[in-house]
Amino acid sequence: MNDDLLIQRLLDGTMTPAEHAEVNQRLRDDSALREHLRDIAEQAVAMGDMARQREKDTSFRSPHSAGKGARYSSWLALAASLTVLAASAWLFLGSRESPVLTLVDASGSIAWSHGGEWRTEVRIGESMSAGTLETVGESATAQLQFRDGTLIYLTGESELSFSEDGQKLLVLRKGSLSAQVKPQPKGKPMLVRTPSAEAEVVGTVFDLSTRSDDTLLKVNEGLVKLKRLSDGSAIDVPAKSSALASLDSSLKLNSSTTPAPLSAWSFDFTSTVPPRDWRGVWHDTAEGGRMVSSPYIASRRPAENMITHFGVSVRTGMLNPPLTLTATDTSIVRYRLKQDQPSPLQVMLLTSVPKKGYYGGNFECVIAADELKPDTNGWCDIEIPVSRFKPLDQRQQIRERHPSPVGNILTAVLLSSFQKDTKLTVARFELSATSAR
Amino acid sequence: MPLDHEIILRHLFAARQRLSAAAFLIVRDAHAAEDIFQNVALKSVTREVSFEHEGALLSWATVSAKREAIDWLRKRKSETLGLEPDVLDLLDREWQSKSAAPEGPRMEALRECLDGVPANSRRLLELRYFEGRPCQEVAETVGAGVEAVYQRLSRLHRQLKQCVEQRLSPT
Repeated sequence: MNDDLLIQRLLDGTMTPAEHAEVNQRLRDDSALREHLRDIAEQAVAMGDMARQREKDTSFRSPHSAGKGARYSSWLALAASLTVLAASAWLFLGSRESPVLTLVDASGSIAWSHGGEWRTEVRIGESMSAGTLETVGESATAQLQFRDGTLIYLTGESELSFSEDGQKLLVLRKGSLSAQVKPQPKGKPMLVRTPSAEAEVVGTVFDLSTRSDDTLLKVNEGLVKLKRLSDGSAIDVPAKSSALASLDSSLKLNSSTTPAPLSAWSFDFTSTVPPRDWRGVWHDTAEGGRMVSSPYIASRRPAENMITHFGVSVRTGMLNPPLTLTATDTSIVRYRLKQDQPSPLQVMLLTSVPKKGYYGGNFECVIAADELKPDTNGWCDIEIPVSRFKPLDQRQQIRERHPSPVGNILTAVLLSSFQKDTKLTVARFELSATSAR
Repeated sequence: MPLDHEIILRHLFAARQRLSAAAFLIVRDAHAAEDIFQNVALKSVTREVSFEHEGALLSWATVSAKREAIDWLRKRKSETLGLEPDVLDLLDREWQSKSAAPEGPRMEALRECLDGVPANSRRLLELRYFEGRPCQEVAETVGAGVEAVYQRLSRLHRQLKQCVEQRLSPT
């Protein structure tokens, strides 16, 4: 096999053991081949940079466009990265050892890093000193409490650095959080920084999501001051209002009334590009758009092996304008989907408690393969009444505390195949309160 | 006197392409490589480390990026075969020996060359390196065989290299 093909198979991860030995030996012996491989790696990284930049600059539909008209130069993104890094460094200068947060509740996998230590097992009730907490996997959640009773609820694949040395300092590098903040000392508001914005909080209830190019804020109670990092402009966002702080400073920074909660809503992937922060890969086809499942970490076994599912998520916190989707006792979850082989599916509802924003429980419904009745083109329409959803957590006290999703806010709805890529493809999601059409 | 955080970050971002590319050779995922670089940059200003000079910082960053990349690979692609440690060391050493030359003009030339790539070839590169799809998926998407995708990618990489060299050539 020639050098080029060997290198491509190396990068594609499709080498046989014999080819693996051969390519390593050729690289040991041939400095020109090593130089070629370094060139390829630099090109790949530069291509990734360029494609990311081009995607941000383009105004036509593309598979991962978060929205239209987002335009900003790469230095802004770099500046944002530096800002978050600097903020992270700043918060770590504070008290390192004294407990800052207690883990009140969690589901799925979480990891806490602190002072060079990386722990993947944190017990409920354990106190954590300044560090970084990560909820690993689409269905992971963590509820955290500061010493003054302030509650933070992290959901999905989120990463939060935290510190408190007279003032609460948080850096949300990715994902979403909800916070129920007790009144803070005068002149020392809680600060939450993201790559694109900083929220200054005195005492309130709010939801914050950081997306690729912007930060979404939804204030439920009280007032939050939101500063856009790209130009330093700031606004006060009052209760029942929302705002979006973009890296694109040409967009107007203002707040608007949060739409009323809905119990019926749908998302048509065939005609609408989903937010890029949703799980799945959106493809535009001649027959319309499709959301194809992508792998995520469902859980970790004790020996640290990860269980991977392939899923498509609908994360309400990542939508602009914000969506508050409520489960009622007549709710029905509907999907139009197809798979390339019959396989059972899991539908999960990740929920939070209305107005308070904290953990409302995760719920699961398993759809047996023989329940799926594909048409001649392979498409299935499934309907799942809310009564079929059962608590995911096996702990009795958690099941009693969160017995049903009814009355809760759906922060995410996740459809997955179990540990097997069945090329699960979704054309439409719907939550309704009506019986079969 | 130890480097302050701003200087650390400036040095790291100046060497970003090399550090990310070195991580890419391990993880073979451009986005993961970028994440790894970001993690290393974060650690450089958050952990109890200090650096007396740029060389110490970049040596630490190279080792840290490699460790992070191996860790990433162990967790996500444990069964794929990659480069042997001694080969990675060799690549790193040669990379570092060339790092005295500023990355800027070379990267600028590379970006200009990438800009000039025809749309269908650019699509191939994006599917492979931006969307991170395996070549089998790329092949299915563009309606070609996987071997043809390997060949087209190889040809594109060599054309880009030639283009960069031409642009950097003084004549």
